[in-house]
Amino acid sequence: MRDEIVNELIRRCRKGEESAYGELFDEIRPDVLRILHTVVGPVQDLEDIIQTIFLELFRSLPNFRRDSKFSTWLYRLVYNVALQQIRRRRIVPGRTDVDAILESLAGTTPNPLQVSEKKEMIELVSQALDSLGPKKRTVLVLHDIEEHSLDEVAELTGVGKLTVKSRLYYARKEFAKKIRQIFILSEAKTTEAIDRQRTKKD
Amino acid sequence: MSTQSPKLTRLFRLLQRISQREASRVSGEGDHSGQEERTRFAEKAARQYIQPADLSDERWEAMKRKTLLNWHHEQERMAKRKSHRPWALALEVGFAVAVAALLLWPDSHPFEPSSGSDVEEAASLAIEQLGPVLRSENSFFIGRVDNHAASDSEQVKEGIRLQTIRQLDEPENIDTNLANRNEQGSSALLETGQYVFNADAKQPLSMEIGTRISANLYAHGALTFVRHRGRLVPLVHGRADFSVKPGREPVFVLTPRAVVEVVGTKFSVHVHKSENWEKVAVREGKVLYYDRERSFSLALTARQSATWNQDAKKPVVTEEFPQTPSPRSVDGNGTIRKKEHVPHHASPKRAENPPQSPKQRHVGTPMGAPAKEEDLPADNTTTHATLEIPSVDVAIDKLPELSDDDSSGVFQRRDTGDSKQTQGSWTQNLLTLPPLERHNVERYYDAIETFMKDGYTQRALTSLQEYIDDHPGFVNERAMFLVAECYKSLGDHKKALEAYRHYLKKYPKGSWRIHAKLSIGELE
Repeated sequence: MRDEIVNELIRRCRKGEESAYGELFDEIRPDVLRILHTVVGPVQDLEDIIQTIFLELFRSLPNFRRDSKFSTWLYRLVYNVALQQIRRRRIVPGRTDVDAILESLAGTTPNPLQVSEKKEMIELVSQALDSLGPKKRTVLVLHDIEEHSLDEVAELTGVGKLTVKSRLYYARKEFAKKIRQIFILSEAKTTEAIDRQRTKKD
Repeated sequence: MSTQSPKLTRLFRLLQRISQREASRVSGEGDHSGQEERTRFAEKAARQYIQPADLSDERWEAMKRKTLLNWHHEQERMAKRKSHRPWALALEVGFAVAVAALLLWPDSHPFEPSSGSDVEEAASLAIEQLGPVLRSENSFFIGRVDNHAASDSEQVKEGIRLQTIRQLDEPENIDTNLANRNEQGSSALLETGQYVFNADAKQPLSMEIGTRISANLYAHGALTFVRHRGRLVPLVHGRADFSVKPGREPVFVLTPRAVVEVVGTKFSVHVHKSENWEKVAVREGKVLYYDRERSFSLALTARQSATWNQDAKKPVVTEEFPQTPSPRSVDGNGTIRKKEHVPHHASPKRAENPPQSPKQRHVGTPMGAPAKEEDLPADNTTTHATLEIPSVDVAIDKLPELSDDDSSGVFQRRDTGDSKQTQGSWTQNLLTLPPLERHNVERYYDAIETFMKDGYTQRALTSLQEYIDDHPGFVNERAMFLVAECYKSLGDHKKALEAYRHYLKKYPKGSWRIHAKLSIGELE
């Protein structure tokens, strides 16, 4: 259904209808934001990049030959423009809004004591993902989190399958290094708390 | 995105086990009861990471407004650019048309020589197709191993006329049984593997070679046609004028020493086998002229010619074909075109100094024969056969009847030096003739010179006397001088003196007057 709407908007854009561009903007902006976030990570000033992406998208619409799905085509376009912008603007990744994630996971954290611990965990997970480079992060997110196959990742990112596998290996390695700290740290804290309780009893 | 994430879960489970082992090693046996919960939470956090917080509607609206505004301006700029620069659009269209033409018209390829192996292979095949080409001391003959006379009738298809010869010094062997020979000449359609030899000293053989190539083969020239990775026309001997229409297949004229690559043009190739020189002259268009080893490659354009003499390492390019008189067209029956002829004076035997420029190339012609500004074909000079001297009946009816006064002084104004003065009159007089007549006159005298040079002096003398009787105009000036030369050569000094004096009397300012006076002094 959504594909039909998008295709109709594309057709109208190609005809030159001014209003269709605005409607297409509204229709695909969540996808653009999500892909962009995957590629560039948490960046405060996304406006300029988003505008650049949409302008490039409007320019490239006549070249969309429907050889692939629009979503695939869009992913590649956003991915390429985002990488280009990272190079040109020398964008430095910011920090993920931990509170926002915590807020979205609030239902599972009723105990205020646990909140700080979980906040710490979210921070570590976010840091682990933020610290990855754009290409590695994209591959890890697409494959391990969004559950795309290697072929699909290769198609979306426009690189070979072997390159995807290689990037995925190094991305997991880097990610694991960060994530293990969560468990070790938590384990240490737990052990420390148990020791403290024993001392009090004694 | 799936709510369950097996891959991520597996990853986190793995990480959990590793971290548990590491934690136990550091702090001894610990309580791992909370690890499971932590793992699940970390996994959820990772999944939540890829769901960025949506921007506010205000921010989206602002971005949308800016984006659409920029897009609108960009489109306006593009439209304005096109409207303000119509030439840019025309340029784009022109470029597209040019590219399309290049792609769709293979013959319009740039003038790059074809690969050497192709031409070499083609040349070998051409020689094979041509059959044995033999050269003996005093005769030049060409033919196949089998007896052609017996199989000619079988080979001749409709529209094909083959003229074959086995040995030129045996005129009785010449097969002149051309079914379509007429007053205008002869014609032939040459197909793959066939060769043609024009034994007619009077008329060129006009032929269609395959398709899109028409050629006039002049007397005693021999060529064949091979279709092999293009259209190949090996010219073994003699001169041929080609007119090639653009086509899909490339056209090569193969000479014994070089290759002429054609795209679509009119040009002339002259090969003298025994003297080992050749010449290519371009009338229209452009050809590539290169040797088999590709040691040189010349792009010859209109009105340029390249002469490759025997000992020269590469050809000499000269400007040819003065603008006037204008070329004549040829009809389909083989009548002579306006000649863009290869100068026989370019032959090393005939000229001690190979032609370097149009002005230089006439110096040193044999027997003191004056040269002309526009060279004529010298096919007759290449044979040693005892053929009858051809008459110029076609031309003679149209010759202008000039008086002696006209012939002796009218065109002297361009003569400057002594040697030039002796030659200028004849040369300039010839230029007054229409090209057809001029061509016939020049061919006749060239043939006579060849006969005299080869020892057929008596036959030449007889022909000259007939010629003088038939041609009372200025064109007999050279004949009268040559008659005297013939007598001198035969040892009849008395008649030679009479002939020289008669010449001086009739042409006191003639081109050969100095030669005549010197000979008189010598004989007296």
